[in-house]
Amino acid sequence: MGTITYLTDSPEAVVRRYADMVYKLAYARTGSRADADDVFQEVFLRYMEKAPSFSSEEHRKSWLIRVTVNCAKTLKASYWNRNTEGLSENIVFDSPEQYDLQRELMRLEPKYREVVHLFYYEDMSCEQIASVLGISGAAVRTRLSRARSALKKWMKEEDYA
Amino acid sequence: MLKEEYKELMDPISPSSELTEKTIRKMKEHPKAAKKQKRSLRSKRGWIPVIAAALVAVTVLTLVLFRPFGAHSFSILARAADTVSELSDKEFVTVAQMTGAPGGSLFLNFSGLYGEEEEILDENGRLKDLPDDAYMLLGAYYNLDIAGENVKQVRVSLNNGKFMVPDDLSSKLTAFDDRTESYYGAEEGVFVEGGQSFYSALSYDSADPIKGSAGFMDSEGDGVMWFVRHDYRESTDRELLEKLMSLSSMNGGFSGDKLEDKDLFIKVNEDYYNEMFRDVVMTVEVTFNNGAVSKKEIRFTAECSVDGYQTVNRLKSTSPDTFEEVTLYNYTITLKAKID
Repeated sequence: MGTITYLTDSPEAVVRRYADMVYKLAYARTGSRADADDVFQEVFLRYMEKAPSFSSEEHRKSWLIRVTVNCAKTLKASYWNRNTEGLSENIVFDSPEQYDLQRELMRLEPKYREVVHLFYYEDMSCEQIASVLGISGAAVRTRLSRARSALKKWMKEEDYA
Repeated sequence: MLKEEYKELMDPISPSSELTEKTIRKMKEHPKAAKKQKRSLRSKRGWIPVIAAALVAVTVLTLVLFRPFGAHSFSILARAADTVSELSDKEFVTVAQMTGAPGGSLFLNFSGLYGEEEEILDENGRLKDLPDDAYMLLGAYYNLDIAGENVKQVRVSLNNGKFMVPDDLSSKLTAFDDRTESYYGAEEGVFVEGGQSFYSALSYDSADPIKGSAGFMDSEGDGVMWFVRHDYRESTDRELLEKLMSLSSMNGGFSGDKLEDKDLFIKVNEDYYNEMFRDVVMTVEVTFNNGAVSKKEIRFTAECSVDGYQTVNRLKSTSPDTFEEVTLYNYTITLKAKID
């Protein structure tokens, strides 16, 4: 647990501090900027709606991660999402390798992508991820391992490694 | 995949400033924000509220210190009754209506075991000999919608089993940070969903291991997980269990890739859920922040049928106006094991 700070911050300060984290995770989970936009707004509105109290800044961060994942799940499970096809998005990649990586990531199931994101981008440990996602540490390790194997396999198939 | 590659890929992904500003604006316009503002304005009205509060405090203190016979308990009761009548329309009534259904996960948890699949099954896919006291915990998730800013604690008793949701969840788990893998007995009769900072310790009635249960509430306070403990030797079919475990991934849940035997999957789930939710008496006790307590008893029997990946749970209440028929999707099964 981190130091107890910021706990009385205004909603605006909270959004500004966690905007990137929430958005990136939402994007990693949904694979779509449009969906990430929706999740982003939903998460912070829930923050207002629920007005949760936190014992630490780490607690607040965990709450936001958890709610982001939940909102992304809900969005993907909605009738609208199950019956519509998203428009292709114009994302500019710096290199062909990045494009390949993104494409292969999107072939992973969302539950694997979220673990990959939290581990690689948020630098969270398996135990922290387990805690936030409500799954066991072993499950996190399994998902990470499967994600890595799948990516490796696909990238080899594409002659990219 | 290298960490740096992933970071480079994700770095440019950020919310637009327009989205951020729009979100902040929506938050500021949110009714709760307005409420907070009102409160802060009221607090600026000077010393009158402070003096009034001080007078009330002195009166209460006087009553407590020099109370006539019974006055103290009477005042508490009166306060509780007032508060409940004030709050119950919005909050307690929703406690009595289960708006969700068993969802998502069936947990099988073996005491005395921990590890990957091969540690539980032998090379022939048979369950290794388990300790005599091995048991399974079967879990189901319900949405109860019992959260509220005025709610401090919710206790749910299910068929003599009990579980509770303390108001300060994370502090309860601090001591268990190093044991984050799975469920375990923190002390006799208590199970903790380790490592889930939003979940908390739950008491468990070991006097009735089959019908006893434990559970926890999720971070947003709108869901309850409970478990029913089974002696696998008596209440389950060992062969079914072995088959089920060989079909499932140990930790990740059913992804569908191993679900060749859907009939088995359906049978096991139907049997378990039907056993779990037969003649259930659930008592929900809500403690509000000001100390008021409301209690409600709900009786029901759940009939479970599983249709492929679609789970249809029909909840039939034996008390009036309690449940409605609901349909679930995303049915998964998770197997967990742990040495305490």
